[in-house]
Amino acid sequence: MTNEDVVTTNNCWYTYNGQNYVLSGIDFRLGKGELVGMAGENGSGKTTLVKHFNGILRPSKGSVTVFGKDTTRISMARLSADVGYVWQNPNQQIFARTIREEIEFGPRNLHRFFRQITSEEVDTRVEEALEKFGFKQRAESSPYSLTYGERKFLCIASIWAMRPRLFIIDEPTTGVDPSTANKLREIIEELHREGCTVVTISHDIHFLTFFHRLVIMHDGKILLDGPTRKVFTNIDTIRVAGVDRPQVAELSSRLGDMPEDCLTPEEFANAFIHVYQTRKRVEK
Amino acid sequence: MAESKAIAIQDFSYAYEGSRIIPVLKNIDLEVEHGEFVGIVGRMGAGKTTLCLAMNGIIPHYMGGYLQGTILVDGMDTRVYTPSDLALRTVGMVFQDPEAQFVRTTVLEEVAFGLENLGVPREEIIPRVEKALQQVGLWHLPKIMERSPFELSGGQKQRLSIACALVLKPKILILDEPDSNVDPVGVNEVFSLLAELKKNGLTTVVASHRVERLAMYADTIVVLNEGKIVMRGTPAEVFSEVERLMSIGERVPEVTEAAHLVEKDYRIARTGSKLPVKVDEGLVYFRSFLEYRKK
Repeated sequence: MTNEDVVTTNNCWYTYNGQNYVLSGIDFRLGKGELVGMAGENGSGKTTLVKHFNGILRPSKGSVTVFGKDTTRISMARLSADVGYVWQNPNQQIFARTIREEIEFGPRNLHRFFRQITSEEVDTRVEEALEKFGFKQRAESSPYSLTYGERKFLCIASIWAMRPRLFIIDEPTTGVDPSTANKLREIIEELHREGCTVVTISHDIHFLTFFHRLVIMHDGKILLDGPTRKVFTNIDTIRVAGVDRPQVAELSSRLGDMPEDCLTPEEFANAFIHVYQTRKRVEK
Repeated sequence: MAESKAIAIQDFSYAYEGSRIIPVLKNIDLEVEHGEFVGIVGRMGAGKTTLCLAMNGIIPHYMGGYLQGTILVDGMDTRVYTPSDLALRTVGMVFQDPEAQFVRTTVLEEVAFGLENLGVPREEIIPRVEKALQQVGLWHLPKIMERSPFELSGGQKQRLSIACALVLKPKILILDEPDSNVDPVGVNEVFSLLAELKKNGLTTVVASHRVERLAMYADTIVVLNEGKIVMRGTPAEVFSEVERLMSIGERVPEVTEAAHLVEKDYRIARTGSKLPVKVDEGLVYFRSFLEYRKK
């Protein structure tokens, strides 16, 4: 293990009921500053795996090391200072009376229990989070006055206020419209630029295309893991995992003469124009 | 004549109770033919869910609020007929989150729930539940009737919620983002089921963000923006308006966006025709460029 490893799982097995293993011997390494997308069918083990990164779950067999510490030897509360987990369903995460209190909860506890930050720092962070995520005008409103998409932002804001080094975001795109998905994407890019390591689970292929690395899970195992562009060229394996390919990737493989790894409409259009121009020159 | 339509909405506006009378839907006019498959797209807050709730009478009967205009569903006025009248005679509703809809502990009880409430005789209930589970492709699962709705997979849960609607033999099915909580396999299951049901003549209205799927299955796309219908037409007609849709925060199918970008390039520029909205259409479309060059 190098010092740069954020998470290392070593032959990690997990069972909820003592009989069926939901994770079957996962070996996974996450380096500092990586931007990782994770996909796979419902029940393939994605959420179970990432819940090992912040100590909500601990391996039934094998080991998980996060920021150099074995997760069985450190409390979840301690880990949560470094690892932020944003739940899939914001309604399961939100509990406070006002937006301000929701954001304040995490950093206030960092101050109260671990003395990691001062009380003034808590206030500063809350104000910053309110500002950054656009809640300033509504700080005293109930979180339930927000739309579903806004609640997702609030959940990210309240984790952001804790300044974790690792951000785990579980299916941020379910039930959100395309423009909200774009905003989420900008926020994730910004977290990454600020130096955070980010792992995001999503079923939305359109959304996943901007992650540098893509992990595809199937049946408790990692089926594919590599640069996103390359992963999407494993057509048959991807199909086994029940993951869609981007529509333009499908189109370019069927069209022939086109690069197989087009991920976005822009890439497709550029590649197509290139093919078209080349033919034109050959004909001349 | 309005009666001959599956759904006829005339100048319908609606504001929620306590909303200071700010309308969520404004002057909606929409007619849906029997057997038509309509996809509703629009941003969050555009009014999709409200429109769905208005088409099965939950608005205004359970939500109150302020409304004007009329909605006739299979000729029945939603202001007069209650949601249970409508559910019994004609319209089924599937909500976004299937788990929020389940109230019983077994699949049998769950599907039978609507029938029991409507007072259907016991001996009729079991065969109808069986048929509904067959229709949605859950019948073959071992011991399905005794299983808990909560132990099914995401796609199965969503199909179960559709079975709960189908058991009442609706002519019209309204689905509010039935695909938002399921993985791609589940999305395929839901949409192929809807395509199958359409073959049997079911009228379908589905609100969804999945433009690629809607392009494959819908006859008509309706675009809602800030409570108004801003576009309406076939998928090709609507999605070809790429820039207009993007300006209101909508996506178009990837293949349509790619075609739009290619046409925008000055070296290729060509206008006038509709853009492809499905992969197969995309193949024909992009090949035509290359073949044209060969001549």
